[in-house]
Amino acid sequence: MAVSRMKKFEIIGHKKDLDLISGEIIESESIQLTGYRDYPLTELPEEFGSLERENPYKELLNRLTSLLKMLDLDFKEIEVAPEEITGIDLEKIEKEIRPIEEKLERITNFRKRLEKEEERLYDYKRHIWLMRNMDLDLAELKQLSYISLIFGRVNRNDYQRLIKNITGLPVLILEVYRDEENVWFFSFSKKEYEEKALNILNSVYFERLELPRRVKGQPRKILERAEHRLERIEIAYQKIELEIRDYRSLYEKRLRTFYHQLKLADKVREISNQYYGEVEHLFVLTGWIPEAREEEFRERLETVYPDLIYLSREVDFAEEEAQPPTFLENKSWVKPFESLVELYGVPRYGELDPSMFMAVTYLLMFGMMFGDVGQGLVFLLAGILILRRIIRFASPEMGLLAMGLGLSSTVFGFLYGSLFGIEDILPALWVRPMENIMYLLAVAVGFGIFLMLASMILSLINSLRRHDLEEGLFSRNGLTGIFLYSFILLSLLSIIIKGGLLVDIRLTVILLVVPLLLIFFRRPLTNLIRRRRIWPESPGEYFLESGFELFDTLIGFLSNTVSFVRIGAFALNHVGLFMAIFILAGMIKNNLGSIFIIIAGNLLIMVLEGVVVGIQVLRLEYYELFSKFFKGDGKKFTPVKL
Amino acid sequence: MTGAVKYAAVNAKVRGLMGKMLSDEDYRRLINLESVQEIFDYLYNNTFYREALTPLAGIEIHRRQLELTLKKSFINDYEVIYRYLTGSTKEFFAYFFAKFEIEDLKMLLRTILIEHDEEYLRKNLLYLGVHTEDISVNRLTEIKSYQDLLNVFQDTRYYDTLKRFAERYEKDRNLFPIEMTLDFNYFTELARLAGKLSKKDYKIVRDLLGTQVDLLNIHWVYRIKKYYNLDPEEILNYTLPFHYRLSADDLRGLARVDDPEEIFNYLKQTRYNTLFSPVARNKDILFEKYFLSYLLKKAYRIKVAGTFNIGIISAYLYIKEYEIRDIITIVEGVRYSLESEQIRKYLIRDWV
Repeated sequence: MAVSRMKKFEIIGHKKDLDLISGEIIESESIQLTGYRDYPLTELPEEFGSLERENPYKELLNRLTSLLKMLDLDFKEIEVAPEEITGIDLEKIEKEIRPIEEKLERITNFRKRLEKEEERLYDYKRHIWLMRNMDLDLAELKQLSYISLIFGRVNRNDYQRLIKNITGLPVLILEVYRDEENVWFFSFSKKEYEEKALNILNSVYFERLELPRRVKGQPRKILERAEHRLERIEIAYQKIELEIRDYRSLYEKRLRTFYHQLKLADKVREISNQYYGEVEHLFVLTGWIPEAREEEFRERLETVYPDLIYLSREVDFAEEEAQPPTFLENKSWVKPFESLVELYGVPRYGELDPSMFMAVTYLLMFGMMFGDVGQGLVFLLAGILILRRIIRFASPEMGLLAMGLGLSSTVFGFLYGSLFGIEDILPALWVRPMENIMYLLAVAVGFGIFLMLASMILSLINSLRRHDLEEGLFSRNGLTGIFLYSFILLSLLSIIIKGGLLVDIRLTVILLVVPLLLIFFRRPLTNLIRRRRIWPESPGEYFLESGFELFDTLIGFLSNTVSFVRIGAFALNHVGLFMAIFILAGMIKNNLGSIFIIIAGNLLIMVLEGVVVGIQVLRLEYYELFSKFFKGDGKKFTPVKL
Repeated sequence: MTGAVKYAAVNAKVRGLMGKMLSDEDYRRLINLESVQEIFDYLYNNTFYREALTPLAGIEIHRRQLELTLKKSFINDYEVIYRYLTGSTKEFFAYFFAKFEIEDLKMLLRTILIEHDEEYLRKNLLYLGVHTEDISVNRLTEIKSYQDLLNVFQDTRYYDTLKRFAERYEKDRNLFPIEMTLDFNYFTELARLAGKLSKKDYKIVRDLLGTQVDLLNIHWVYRIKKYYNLDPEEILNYTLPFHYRLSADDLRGLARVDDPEEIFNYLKQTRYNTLFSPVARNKDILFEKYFLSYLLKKAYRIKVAGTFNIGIISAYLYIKEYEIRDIITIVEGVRYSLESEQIRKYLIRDWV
């Protein structure tokens, strides 16, 4: 369980080293910068102002980005040493990429022209197709004396409006073709209405299709010519594709190197403008660094730049205003649980990292609820396949999680003696759930009680670290709570076993009432110890709230404990579901059918119950355990990265 | 029953927000204040806007800044409400708010393509870049040409429209068709999503949106008649193709009248007879304000009309939007030293 220790550091250096040092910071990927005036380690003189420099890299970077996109190149990481950014010669790069840009632009323009022609040809095809069997020369249509003929294309929605609204005019609209988006149409009107017709058509933004001046001949001939031209265009497209591929292999390396150099230089400008301060020839920057990485970082900086000043200090986390960011470091098998913890909240710096606790308890509970050697091994196998990227599903981390769950399930499978739901092959090393229902449920509750106490103790540790007297001593999750909860449990146990109370009845009452009173009066008590004003500002509100909380505490002890019954219940459920499957399989006379049902049933149970159990355990973790000791109001460590 | 499950939480939330809105008394006080600073102080010290206005406390207030902050607070309210919604209602309201995105997009088109004023854009974006995940303000302000615009909006629902007008725009530099089409598409899609609501909800939404569309169309026809000389068919093509209590025939009739003022006489034959008779008599009434005020009253009626339906949420969104519009009107009025009586005339809530 580890929240890494953080140190606040401050660097004051010569401006000539600024870019290089910034480059190191980005490359290290383990530093979170803060504004230079946010809780600095030294009293900075008034004269320090925030650093502002032009960013000359942005424009070229954008151009390179679009170039890479045009060539369909990816932005995969290339190592760029920080030294490279000081020597960037923008003019040289510009000179080198401009011809490439120009050539590509010519190609794209050419492609655009082709696309336009292609579109126009398709438009003709749609219109002329209707006249393919007519025996007339299209050239004649262009010089009609009494009728105005307009060919056009319009968006489908707009076409609808056009038809609806045109009713009052002597203009005829004839649809010739439609696809998902557009409608192709002719419009006929008398010559004197031509202008009006055009106005209306313009108000639905139609695309007019003029017959080219040279067009003449039979519609059928024109269609053939269009077909032919379309084939030529297709060939031209392929040629363009080839040409682009040539460019890609020719310039790929250069362009990507430029891109990454500029990217780094741009990032340096960005962070320095955002966070750094300056005065005359000096600059200052501050940030957070994990303690474990500090030594190396510091040594490297101090050897390369001997005249910089490096200061750092650990920050006491109880000191509210400068709360360090939280950086969780865990073993790889715990990592997946880190994300589940973060789903609930990021631990505050100084708080315990619940990831490890969660990993162990989650795996245990999952196994108890879903114990099956066969299915567990399937999970384990799936996990390995995901981890090795043989199955490309989710992230490798998920594979690790599946392996853990599978392993735990297998172990409990041996304890329960269950293999793919078949209970009579393996011996049960511990217990067969269905044959010892009450025992299993009791064990589940017992385990729950253990976890509850464990999380109360974790809460105690957290309070101690936070120097939080109220929470630690008097709250229901603190010392008082632990005592009250254990005392109630022990008394109940003694009633069940001995048939009598643990201690004398009067003492029992006192031992119950005193902790309750402590919880009720916890704020004034704390104030008393701390020698502050005893009664809170609005006592009415405090006591109302406290009263409800007291009630909630007692209910909570009961309901949280009982909640763990589900661990046992799901173990039973698992067996129960299989019984149903086997009965179904037995009802089918034919062997093949039975086997099919058993396999399908196994799959169904694996998926369905796997998910349900996974969620139930998560629920137990979040509501029954986390809420006791974990505030989750920390800020996540976000190092500067490219 | 389903309504009770679906709306219990969100209605409670909205009622909570409702309770925090300005009272008529607040408006009466606000219009009598002397400066933008005083308005700010009043809102900051006496109203729910305190939290939203905190970032501006203690610095010199500019009118635009105040307006923008108020509008942003509205969007934040909406985001809170949105989290409580489910199913078809969620889908509907997700799109309902696209109108802010569309307004931003229109502003973007004007500022970037015509005026080249990136600073103005950066300061005035409300929704785009702020509440959209994959489009950042920086990407928006870096747009230089129509082609850049297409690149940035490649994966959005606006791409098809933008792409469709690309060539035309390069030719005539006219944004009007794009803006119109964005609006058409907005209402078309909204109507489609409304159709997926439950019957009861659909009726409520239809009443509000239907009336709004009718009134927008009337307003639009009136303006075209007054300022432009277009054929009736063209006018109709520029109206929204939806009809609620103003039938397609009514609208056609409106488009055919000769004199803009005739429109109000014509409306007497329609179901908006009573609504427009005061406007026909009194030329002083501001047309747009008048119909907004009608919608506002309708929203208030819907708000109290039922429980466990979409009503209270939609009513809230209208009422709140108009509250902010009114505050902005007051700020502008005070800024330009209008008499309080004058300002009162421009308020949407005309009963104050």
